Amino acid sequence: MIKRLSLRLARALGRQLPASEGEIEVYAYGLEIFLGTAVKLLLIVVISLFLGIFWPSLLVVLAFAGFRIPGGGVHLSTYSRCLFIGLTFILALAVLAASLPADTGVLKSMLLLVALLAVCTIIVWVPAGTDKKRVTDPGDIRRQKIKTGLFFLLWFAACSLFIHRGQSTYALALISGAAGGLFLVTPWGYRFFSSLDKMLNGKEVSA
Amino acid sequence: MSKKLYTWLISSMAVLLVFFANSGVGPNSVFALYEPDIPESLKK
Repeated sequence: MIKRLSLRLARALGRQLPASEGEIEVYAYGLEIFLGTAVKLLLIVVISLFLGIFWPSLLVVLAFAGFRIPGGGVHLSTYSRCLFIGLTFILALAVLAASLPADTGVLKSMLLLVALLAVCTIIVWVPAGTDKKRVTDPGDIRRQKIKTGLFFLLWFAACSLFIHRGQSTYALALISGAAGGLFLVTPWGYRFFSSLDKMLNGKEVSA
Repeated sequence: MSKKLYTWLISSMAVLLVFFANSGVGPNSVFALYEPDIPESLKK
């Protein structure tokens, strides 16, 4: 749906400018990225406000996107799946962060565990590509590792600050968001989401 | 005046869309779980 809408809007824009077919394709691709992200973020904001978990959701998204954007990772084959599974994934992590009682000791252990996962992921798997896009240039690979590493330091400092101030919900939201984002970069994340995609493909074929 | 403003708005929108498109082609990943197909003209 987003793909078709983006192409129609891009064609309308192309008629006004005017633009070549190649340029219209680029506008449609840009629109697809913009609309896809905007719709998802808007739904996260609306649903999280409705559930009363806006701030934990925002922190989950920040930690998730902070590792995901420079680190790469698995993608699903259709936008509707991405929207439904992504929303469920983010909101479930935010609900967990908002409802689980966690004392400082547990939070510190979780932070260390996810930090260890982050360091391993950055060293071994970042940047994780897909069939559509793969980062192969050694300079780009190094840059993506550095970007993810810098975000890791910022994330670790923010988590430590929240734990120090006793704001366990916010700390847990950042920790779970990071765990979710990092999971998508690992081979286990690829295996899990690829299996899910294949299972849904099978259901669509048989339906 | 309004024609100029309209042209400026349309051109700015196109520039913004090219910016989004380029962000999708670079080494950074798209935040969402879905990755659109990269157009041939951007693969070159």
